Amino acid sequence: MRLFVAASPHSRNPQDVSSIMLHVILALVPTSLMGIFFFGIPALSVIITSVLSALAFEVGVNTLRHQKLTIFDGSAALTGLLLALTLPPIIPLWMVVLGNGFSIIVVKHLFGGLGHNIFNPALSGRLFLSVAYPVAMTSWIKPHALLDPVYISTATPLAKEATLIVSNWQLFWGNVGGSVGETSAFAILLGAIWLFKKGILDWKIPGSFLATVFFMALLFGQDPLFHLLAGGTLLGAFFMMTDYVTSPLTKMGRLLYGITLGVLVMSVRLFSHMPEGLAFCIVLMNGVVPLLDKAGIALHVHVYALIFKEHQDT
Amino acid sequence: MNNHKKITGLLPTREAPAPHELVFPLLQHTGTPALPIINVGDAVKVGQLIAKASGNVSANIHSSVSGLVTAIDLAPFSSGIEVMSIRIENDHKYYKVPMATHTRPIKETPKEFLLQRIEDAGIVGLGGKMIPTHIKLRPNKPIAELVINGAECEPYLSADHRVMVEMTKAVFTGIEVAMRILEPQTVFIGIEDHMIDAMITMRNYALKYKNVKVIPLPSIYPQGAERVLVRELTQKRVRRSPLEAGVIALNVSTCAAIGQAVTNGMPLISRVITLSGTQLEKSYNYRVRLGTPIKTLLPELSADRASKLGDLRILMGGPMMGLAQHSLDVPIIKGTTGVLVLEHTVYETQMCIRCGRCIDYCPVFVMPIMAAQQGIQASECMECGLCSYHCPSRIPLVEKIRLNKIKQQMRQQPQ
Ligand code: SF4
Ligand code: SF4
Repeated sequence: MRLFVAASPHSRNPQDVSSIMLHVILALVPTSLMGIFFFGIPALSVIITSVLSALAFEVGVNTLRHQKLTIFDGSAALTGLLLALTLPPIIPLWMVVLGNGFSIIVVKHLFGGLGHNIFNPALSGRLFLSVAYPVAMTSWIKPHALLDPVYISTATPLAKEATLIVSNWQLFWGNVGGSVGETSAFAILLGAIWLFKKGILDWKIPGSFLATVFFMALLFGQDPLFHLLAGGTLLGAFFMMTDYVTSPLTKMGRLLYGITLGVLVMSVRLFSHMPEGLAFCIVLMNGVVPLLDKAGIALHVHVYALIFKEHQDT
Repeated sequence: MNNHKKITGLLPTREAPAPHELVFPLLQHTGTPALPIINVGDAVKVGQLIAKASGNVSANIHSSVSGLVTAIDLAPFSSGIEVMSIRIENDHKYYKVPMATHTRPIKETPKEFLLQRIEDAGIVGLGGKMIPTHIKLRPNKPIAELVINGAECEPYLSADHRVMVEMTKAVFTGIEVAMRILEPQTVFIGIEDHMIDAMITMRNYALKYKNVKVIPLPSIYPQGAERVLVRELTQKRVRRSPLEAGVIALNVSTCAAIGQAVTNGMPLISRVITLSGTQLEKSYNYRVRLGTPIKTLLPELSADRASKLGDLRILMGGPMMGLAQHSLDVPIIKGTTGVLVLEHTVYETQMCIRCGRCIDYCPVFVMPIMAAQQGIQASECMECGLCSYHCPSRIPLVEKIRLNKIKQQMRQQPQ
């Protein structure tokens, strides 16, 4: 028997980093299944390639940096999965690998690894691919197109030139053209609710963002439900913006972040021709997070002083 | 958080075994150490004053057994340092000094008499802070609300729970004494809602008083932390001490000790503690004579069986705020709420993943990671440990905040 001395507290919440990552991955399973259901084998192969290549790059970088293997903390697999969910289902698989290489090597590890990266790795990877291969990144197929002899390319509902009309119900179930995992609002909400219950997702960022989008849409006379359901808004709100490392830490910072993002995304959608501005907006705002946190800290201290008044005579 | 209370909360309190040698540290309270008034070789009796309060903030210390004073020297102490202590050899005869009972109704007793009794008995806050009670009960401003802390939020601990069930009368006498002295408008008794039996007993007793309210509280750590409890019960937000807002908080065990001191003239020589933990086969609450070294209470850890046990952490107090002990010779003191034997686990610290959980969980609205990194609001932290508990990266936030606090204090008061 040996006695050990250590500082309190002497027990810890069993939920550590890897179990959080695992929970998020599990929360993305319904979305992935919906993607596979609607887009078939291509979607499945994109997801598998993406996750495996992300893990492979992580191992590679770990070896080069002489680190302990960090694949078991789940963050690399999560990046791969998230990236896959934002890609068109019929993208060539080598592009998926390339995108993951960019995400893991450049965005994550060149900045110092998990906890140090400024930009969301999955979204940056996606943006990299959109810039490098704009055509492949905008070739969408209709859901269930797999069963047809020819892939019919289609536009996502948000593209300005889109002539096809989709109902909000279609958007809710995900029965529309789009990225692998962005189309089914139902599946995304399912995962998000579960994460809320587990205490992993904080309401502040998605809440303030979605509320802002809703009211901006109302203000400009558009269908707010359409804007909430279309174009990866929900996947972005619950799984991209809330990425711990690249979102603000402070309570006030989070609210500010959500609101600013809402305004930014709606401005892009209303006044520009970039059909999928969400990813750009999130990565842009990732860069502003340090500033938001500064503001968040200042506001927090200020609010603290207001509610906990210093009593004079003690 | 699993609160592990069920193990001990429903079992009756037992008498702890008495040791052959007891150790009475002279500093079992906040303030200045007490002054020994006996010499080595003197014979003492149960309840005899052995060290007298000295200085403005201090408390008396009494012997809990009869026997001989064998030494006055440095002895191990729960905070890891050595403290001047009186060692007494137990003769197992338990001769008592006469104790003056008091039968007049509390309402008609002069306040000064009551305060004197509390001071003589050497009562300090038994919840762990160990502020001398006679000092606390002489506030510099009128008191609107008296808060009685029966929340006992630390996992494993259930000593206060047993005190409320088994010593209800003494607890209420103590509350009555405090009411007589402070004359508050309302008295709130906060009890965590898992202690159903305590709630029923206390409610029944409280019916006799018209301004005493027993309030169930959700069983969430740190419900019993003074600032959280006061906020919950009185809606007053305080920054440091509840006294700022005209509130005083007393622990139920302290009230029981006050009750016994006033009616029976009984000095504070024993207390109820919880003996529990994952590494102990049997967990109970024990009434322990102060000064008992923890090895007497833990025969399981004796040399012959110890080899089977792996690496342990022995805590004084709960798992969230308790102190890990380096020696089994450390005595139980007035502020010891429990002794826990847990396994020693090492957590690997990772980079902060900026999840913000520490901020979301802090009960007093501090930003723990900022307090740890930059010292912002460090002085407002009450070291409840919740931020370290929840940090998925296992960053020892409380430890860092404590360091920052000390640094800031040293900067403020250069010698
Ligand atoms: S900073 Fe941590 S230890 Fe301090 S009060 Fe907040 S949660 Fe508790
Ligand atoms: S809980 Fe830990 S990992 Fe999360 S923000 Fe606080 S210090 Fe960082």
